[in-house]
Amino acid sequence: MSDFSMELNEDQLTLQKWLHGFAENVIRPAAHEWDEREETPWPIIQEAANIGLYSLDYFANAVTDTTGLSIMLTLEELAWGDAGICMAIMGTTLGVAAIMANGTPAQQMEWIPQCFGTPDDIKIAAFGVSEPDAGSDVSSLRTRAIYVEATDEWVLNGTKTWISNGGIANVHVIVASVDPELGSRGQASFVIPDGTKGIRMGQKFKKMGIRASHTAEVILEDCRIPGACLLGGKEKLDEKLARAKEGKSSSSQAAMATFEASVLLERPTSTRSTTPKNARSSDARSSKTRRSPSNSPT
Amino acid sequence: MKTRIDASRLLVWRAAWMAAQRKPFLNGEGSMSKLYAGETAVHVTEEAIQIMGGYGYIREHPVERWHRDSKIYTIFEGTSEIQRLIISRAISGVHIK
Repeated sequence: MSDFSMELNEDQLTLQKWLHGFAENVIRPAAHEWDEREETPWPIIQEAANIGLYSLDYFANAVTDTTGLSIMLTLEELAWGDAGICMAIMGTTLGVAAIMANGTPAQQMEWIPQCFGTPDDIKIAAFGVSEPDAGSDVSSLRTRAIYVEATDEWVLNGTKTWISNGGIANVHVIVASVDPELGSRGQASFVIPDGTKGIRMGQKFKKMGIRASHTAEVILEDCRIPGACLLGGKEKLDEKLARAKEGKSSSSQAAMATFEASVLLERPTSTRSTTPKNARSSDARSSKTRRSPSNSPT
Repeated sequence: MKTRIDASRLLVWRAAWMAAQRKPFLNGEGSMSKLYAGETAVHVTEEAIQIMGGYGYIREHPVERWHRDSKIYTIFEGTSEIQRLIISRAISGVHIK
């Protein structure tokens, strides 16, 4: 537990200075070139890996910082160097974060190191959610994942778009619908291992900005992956789907009620206790009985 | 410009600190930070071009690139509209569509 502070501690100041040095000496001088080239700046990622910035260790330390600020310092400094190169270096962490959020400890141990690789053999990851017809509305994803019990495999079909590192990543994490009727509660995340057949890059996009970051479509055509690639595991998914089916009609109401309760507990003086009806009647009363502010004693 | 950048950093650091303490975003604090910092990046980089005039507009200087780069922040990882929706839902308790 750390108190909130705008004062960086010694370690953070050292970290910030180190990051700024890399941004100033390595990233900024290369920014113009990679903006023009519109492709992944591999030599810069290599340098980041050489100094331990692009690595599993760095990421693991940053996310366990109890002040929460290490990641913010990293992003601010690297983006100061160049937003596109920053994204090229940090794009992997989108896939990693999805594995951290949804994977079992064993899956995290297996896949996260493969997202970064080593300085001698750099790997990158991608995270695919958005689709041509489902950008912000993630509940209507069309990419389907169907389980084949006989072979314990998942088969994925669909198209993802605007994916950072899409199609060139070693590890892709793809969100797909297992039960479309359940909307976002019928979705699951899947790891597509390096070398899997049936996944390929579609169109690579030319962009207005952050051009050093590769952005492309990812096309899944009968992409078959082992059952173990379902993040969180089958048992957990089946439970989630069963709960979603049960609570289908009443769940949104229940979620709201719980939310209301927690808000009121958090803020006992909430003005929400005044209903619109009360507010109106007191307004009506006030015109005759309430004194105007100018008459109030000060 | 400086005020907005400082305000952005305050919101971002608060949200990061809350997340690290596992405090729930009861008022959409995470969305507030993403929304405000993203829109600030667009605003200040546009102002920077304006301050530099013609020099800011030509590609010989990095300022026009910074503005092009900044626009993604109001679009990816939850557009500004989605962030506002999340904040609205959080503070009203109503599942606004």
